[in-house]
Amino acid sequence: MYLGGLIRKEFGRIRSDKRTLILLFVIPVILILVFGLTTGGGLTKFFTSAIITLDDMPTYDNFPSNSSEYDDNFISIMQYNTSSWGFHSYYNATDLDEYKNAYQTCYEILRSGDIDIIIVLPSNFSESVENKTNPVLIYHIDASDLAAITAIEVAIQEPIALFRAETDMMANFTIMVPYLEFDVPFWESAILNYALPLILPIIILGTTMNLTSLSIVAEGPLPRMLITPTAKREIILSKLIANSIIMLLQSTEIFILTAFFGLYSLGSLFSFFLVLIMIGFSGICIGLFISALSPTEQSANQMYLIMFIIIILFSGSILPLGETEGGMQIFMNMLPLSNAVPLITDITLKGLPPDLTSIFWINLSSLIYVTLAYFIYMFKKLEV
Amino acid sequence: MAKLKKKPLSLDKTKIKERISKIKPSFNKIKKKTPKPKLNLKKHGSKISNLKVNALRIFKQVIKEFRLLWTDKFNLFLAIVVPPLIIIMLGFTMTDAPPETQSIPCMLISYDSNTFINQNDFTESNLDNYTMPYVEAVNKSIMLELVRFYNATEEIYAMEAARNALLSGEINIILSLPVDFTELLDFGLPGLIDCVPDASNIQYIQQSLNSVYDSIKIFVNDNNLTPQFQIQGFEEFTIPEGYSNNFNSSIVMALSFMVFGIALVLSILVIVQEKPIARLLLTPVKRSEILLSKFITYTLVLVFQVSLLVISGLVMGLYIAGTITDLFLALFMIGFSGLAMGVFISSQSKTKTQANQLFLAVFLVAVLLSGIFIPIEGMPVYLQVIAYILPLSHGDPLLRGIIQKGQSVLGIHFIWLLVISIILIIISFVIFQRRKYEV
Repeated sequence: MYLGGLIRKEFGRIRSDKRTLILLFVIPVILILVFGLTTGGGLTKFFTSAIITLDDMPTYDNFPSNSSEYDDNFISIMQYNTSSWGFHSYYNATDLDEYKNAYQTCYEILRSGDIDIIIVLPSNFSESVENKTNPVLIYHIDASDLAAITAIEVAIQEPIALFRAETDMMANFTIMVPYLEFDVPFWESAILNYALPLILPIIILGTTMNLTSLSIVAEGPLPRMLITPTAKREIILSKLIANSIIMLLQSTEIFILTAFFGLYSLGSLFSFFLVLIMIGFSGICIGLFISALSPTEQSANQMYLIMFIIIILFSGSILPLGETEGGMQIFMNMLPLSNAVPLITDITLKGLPPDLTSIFWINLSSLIYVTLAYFIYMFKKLEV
Repeated sequence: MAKLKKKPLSLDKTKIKERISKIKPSFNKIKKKTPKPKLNLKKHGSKISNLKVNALRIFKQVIKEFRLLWTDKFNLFLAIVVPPLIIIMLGFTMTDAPPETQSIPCMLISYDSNTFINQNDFTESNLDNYTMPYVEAVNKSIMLELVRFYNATEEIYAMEAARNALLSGEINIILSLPVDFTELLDFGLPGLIDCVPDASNIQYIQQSLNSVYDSIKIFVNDNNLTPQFQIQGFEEFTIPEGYSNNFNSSIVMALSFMVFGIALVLSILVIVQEKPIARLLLTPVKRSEILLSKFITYTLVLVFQVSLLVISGLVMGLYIAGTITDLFLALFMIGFSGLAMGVFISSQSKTKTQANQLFLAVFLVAVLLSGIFIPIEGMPVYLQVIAYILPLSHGDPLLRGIIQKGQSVLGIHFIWLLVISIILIIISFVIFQRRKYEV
């Protein structure tokens, strides 16, 4: 009886703040709209290079012909024929002083971030191609970009393959041909679908945590209610129920919007929706925990932000969950994103049923947060 | 004839005094308006004394702001102590081996012993010279872990089994040697190795391809397949040995997030929450002084917070190619832009709830468009414009430039953050000046 009244009161409180409600439903619309309209191949690493050729420099030893024919072919391929490379400039160095100057210029361009890599064609480049010995390619890469370091050796195979085809160096050439499995088809929005597993939980968690993180600490009349027969657990429960209903509406809105803007899901849409709800519920429980713990509104805001940052940092995107051990793994499991991201990926891109272990961790953590919120609120001293 | 007698002038002193007292105020007004060249020095002096009074007032306001902050110790604890704790936590967890040394589970299927029919002369061949050498190369590669090898001639459902393993997550990549692998190499044509990586996690695709390339390198070297391109790589701006690459790269993201976010949260309620502001306006305190004192107070808090973050980063082994001063200035500027954004939100919000919701909207948009989740270059132009206006998209390149490339703080990103902050501060001052208060 009390609970029904309390839930009605909660709805009244939420409804009285129309701007909150509008933002709660408008923010996901804007963000999904923004990412839904985002197209393009921004997910693959695109290299921009500058080339220094030393091929015109004289060569000795085993290279008496002193050819400098093939560096132009390679530069031309880099300039016009590759799909994953951009071309900045090239420098022809005929002696060591010119090479030093060219390298210094390229180094400064590399430092400014305008290029990712300097490619140096050595003085015996053409001779090696002519003699069918192993030509050497030297590169200097910007190592501050971890993605560039990991991708370079494979990416450079593309211009090499084109060059070998053009110069008839196909003998003994071994190359891999990748066929991506469980990727987003080219007719779907790649950015939206690859970003969804991370962005959707972030939006849901961000909004639900914000909705509830002030629900206890900011409610003035709450202490006075304790004079009435209302129990503290009823207050927490009513907040949990009222906010969950709002979250349910929000999750439905997000679900419909993502479907409208090109959600690619091999798996069950119901499972996908269910996971969204579980993430939202987790956000509400964390929000209530923050609200119960915080002495002031500003503290609640501060805690919300710090919690949000921790959730993103330990989401598994930076440090994969599988690579952690012991206490750290439990800590990461207690944060909803580390399980939510693989869950959504498995459902949408692999078509798998929801992984029960991930579901267990998300719900267990929600339960722990809400229980903690209840106990903290139980022992909180309130002045009526 | 009656003579008109001249009325004698009356010299009633009291009446004269009354008249003077009536005239005096207006006379005084004229007197005040009339410039007195001789008093220039005094006026100058009064200006200085006015400045002193104003400075004193602002100083007292700043002290008041600090007292206000001190009343909420939990908030101060969260703002100052927790961020360095997060850095320390990152420092302990991010010292693992780099991901490229972790082997990727794979299955290898060879179709090479199946019958190959040459399309040109319809001759048949069953050559299979390179399957075992490639299996050996895969076994040698530290980047690959061969879970199972199938000879598809004997096990016709090998690909299905491998695909099921890929789906369940048992392996991350399937390698397949086609039926013409040996034949093509023998004809002097490229030998193609098919690989099927699990592309559902975009982060692992590159790692999978790198590991296959590693096995190919071993294969061509061991079997003396020439000519091959020898690739010699040199890494510029790399982190020296003894420092954690993972920690350095993740801290850049964490620092800009934390400094911007916490400065934002600290300041979103400064105007909208403070009830005595209306009463303060009855005193000689000016609105601009109130806002200025808030900026001074929170800037000092920011300086303290940034110092703690830099110290904790250094203690945990952060490698800085640039100077510590540059790092400090960069962090300060990122935080200051958050502070300016927070005060702007506070000045234009009517209630605390409005300020909180605006904070959420601004923070979520800033985080999602910061370029960390989706590269800014991959966004459409209109979105790139919004992303570059927001301060957080400048935090990552600014800090990365200083920490790893040794760049100076004074660059386009710093200037842009400064410009954004100045614009937001000016708008906040204008809004606050026009804000209506009921005393």
